[in-house]
Amino acid sequence: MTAVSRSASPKAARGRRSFSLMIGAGLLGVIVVLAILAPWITPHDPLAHNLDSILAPPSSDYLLGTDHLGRDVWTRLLYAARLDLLIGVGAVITPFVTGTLLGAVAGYYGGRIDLAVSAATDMLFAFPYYVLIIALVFSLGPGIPSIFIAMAIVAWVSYARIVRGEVLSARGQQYVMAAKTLGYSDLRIIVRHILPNVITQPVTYAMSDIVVIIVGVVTLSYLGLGVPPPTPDWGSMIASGQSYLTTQWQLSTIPGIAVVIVGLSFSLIGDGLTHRLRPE
Amino acid sequence: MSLFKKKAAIGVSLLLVLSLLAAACGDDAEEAPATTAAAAVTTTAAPATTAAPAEEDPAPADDDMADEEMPAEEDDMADDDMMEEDPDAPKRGGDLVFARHRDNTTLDPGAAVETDTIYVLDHIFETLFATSADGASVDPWLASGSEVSEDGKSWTVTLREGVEFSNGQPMTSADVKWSIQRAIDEAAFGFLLSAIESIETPDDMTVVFNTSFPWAPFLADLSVWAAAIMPADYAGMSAEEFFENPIGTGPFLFDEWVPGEYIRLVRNDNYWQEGKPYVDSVTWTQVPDDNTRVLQLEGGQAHIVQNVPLNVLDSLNEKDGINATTFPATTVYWVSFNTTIEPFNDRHVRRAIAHAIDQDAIANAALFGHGGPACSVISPAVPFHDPDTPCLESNMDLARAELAQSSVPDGFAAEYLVGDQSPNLPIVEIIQGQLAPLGIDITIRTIDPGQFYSTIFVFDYEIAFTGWTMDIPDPDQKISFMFDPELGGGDSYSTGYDNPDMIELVRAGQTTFADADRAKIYADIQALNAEEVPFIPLVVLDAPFAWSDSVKGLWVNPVGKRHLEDVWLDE
Repeated sequence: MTAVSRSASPKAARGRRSFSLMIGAGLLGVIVVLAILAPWITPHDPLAHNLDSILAPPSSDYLLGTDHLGRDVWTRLLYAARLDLLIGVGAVITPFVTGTLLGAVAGYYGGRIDLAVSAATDMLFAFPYYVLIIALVFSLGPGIPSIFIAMAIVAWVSYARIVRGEVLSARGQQYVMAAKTLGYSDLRIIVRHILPNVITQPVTYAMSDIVVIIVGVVTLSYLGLGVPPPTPDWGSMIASGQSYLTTQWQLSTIPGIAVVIVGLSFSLIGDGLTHRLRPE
Repeated sequence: MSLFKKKAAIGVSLLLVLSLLAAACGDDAEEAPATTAAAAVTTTAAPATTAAPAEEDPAPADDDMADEEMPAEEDDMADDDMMEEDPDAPKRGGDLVFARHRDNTTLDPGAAVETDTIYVLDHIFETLFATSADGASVDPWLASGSEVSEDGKSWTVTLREGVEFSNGQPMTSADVKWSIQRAIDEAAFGFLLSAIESIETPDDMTVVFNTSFPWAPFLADLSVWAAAIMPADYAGMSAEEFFENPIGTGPFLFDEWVPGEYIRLVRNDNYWQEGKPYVDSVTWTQVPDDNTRVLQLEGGQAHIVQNVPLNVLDSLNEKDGINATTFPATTVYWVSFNTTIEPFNDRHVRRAIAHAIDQDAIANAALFGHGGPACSVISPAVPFHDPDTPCLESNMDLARAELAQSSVPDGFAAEYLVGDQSPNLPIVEIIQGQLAPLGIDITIRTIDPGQFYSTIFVFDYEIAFTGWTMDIPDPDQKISFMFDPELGGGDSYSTGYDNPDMIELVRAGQTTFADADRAKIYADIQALNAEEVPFIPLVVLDAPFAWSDSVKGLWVNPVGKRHLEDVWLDE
């Protein structure tokens, strides 16, 4: 079966990739819509304690039951989606921009600038990603601003490395030569001519990076270093439900499944985009 | 080609922009629930009153335990053949595994401050007196009796015959004198013994302690773990060598410690209680996760687990082969303030917080019926607890009125430090909700339980979740630690609270012998704390344990002593 599909026409392969793009976008779309509509489609307040009905089982009133402070799990799940998706998408922007620019400059000019940027990326790549993030957040103090700063410091290296390679090969191409001959400034050549041609690579990478960042935020919150309570977040929901795992398994499991679904949908989108945008 | 790429790039950028817009919408709406939450929380402040289980008299349970123990001690001399014939007689042998959430920090009783370290050291070292089964007084342990002079300043203690250290050396008055002097000079809790002016040793079996003034809690203070009896001069070793392989009179010998994993003790064949201990070894394993500890018990990898999550205790007890219950304990948890900084040096701020906290709601939601609301800093299981302590009423109107008189009438932001272990965090989360209507914006800072005390001892906090489990059956230990910044040894439990009236009461409690008079003094102390609230008592909690059916003779007295020399395994 695999052999057959491998030998099938490029068109069929592209169709299959479109399929994964559609599934991914569909899943993500549903989650994003639910998250946006959270205040209107959830009947409860995500923060209000209701100490008379703690650890209630799922019911028509509480779709997924309540947590240890009587808060509605379904409501918190959706509000957590808002925050975690926001952080995931938001935290990818700074590294995307800085990484892309630094990579482009390094690839275009080469020489000492390239050496400096490459040395910095190599140095950061030498450390395990999560270890670095956790160490940075820990020293900056827990909280969302620290997460943004840590991601900005650590995550740009992948973009820089990808863009640098692309720019290196674009530098010798005819359209760049032509632009140079016409006397365009370096800035104009990089921004107007090279970047639009190489940007698809970092954009597709950003899709998988969002997954990494969301998982990172959830992990940090699980460890008590991320989103501070009582703000709902999947990581802190998993952590606080853990004590009740043997009796109220859904408290930790459902937010965990939410993370998996979001991760899966971004991965499918990234996968679909990669092949969609690949030149034939 | 490049045109196609451009199109795709635009498409992808659009997608990104759209999701950003979505995120931005979310940002605006995010603030709405926060304010509604503040309003909603006030409704939970309505007191949900149910009976406080902790008010039950702990004595009957302890009497049962004690009764079970007595025959065991009388059977000491029985030989092995007889034991096998009688199924109720203790069996010798077996390796007991005891799972807990924290590891030891030291093997030196002088350096130990945390209960879990102390409970292990109790089995290597022993003290002259030990807390009785009901937790109300002390019994002679390594001592056989004592006498106090008429002026209350001289205590003559006779030592128990036939006690040997684990190296075979007999315990003499010289060892006692050296050990107590070491505790006074070096131990973290040596301040308890600071009233001792001189120690005399008229003969090998008699020790005379002269105190500088009449000292009421003296015998109770001698039962503190820090007053452990060791061979004089570390039996000729250096302190480092000695605590690598400590020598005591206890039922077990130190065998091996792998920090972060386990600490193992083996039977001391020289133990003075004939026939005890029954098990060959005890291994305390460190298992930080609450559920894992319970699963280890169910899977047979552990015999006894402590700090069982309160929400599973009852359902666990229903399972075949497992017992799960609480032992009466002296634990009280409270809010404590760093009173050396603003705004917590303002008693109106502390009183406003005390008015806003609803202890009944906390006890109902976080303790699952295994504890109750607290009003006094002294647990009901401790002598001189005053049930009529005039505590501040849980009432939001009074809280607002009190805060209005303070330096921060519109509220403030503060950080609440809490050790990350059950059941602390839910309690702090509830308080966070209860304080929100006052405009007090609490950020919860969780910290590894192992780092908690080192953090508050250097005042690196604003509000903290602390508490106390008694080590001796006399309130003086914790009362002087909490309220006497000079002699109490702990800057008023790291609050910096310094009130001359309180200090005078604390010292009067130490030098007054008549129980009725001491009761009055400690009632005044409890009332003064209730008025000034450097500590806001929250809940009292029993000690949750679970153990397999094969474990026999387990009992834990109200000061947390495990006495594993009485435990045997029926496997």
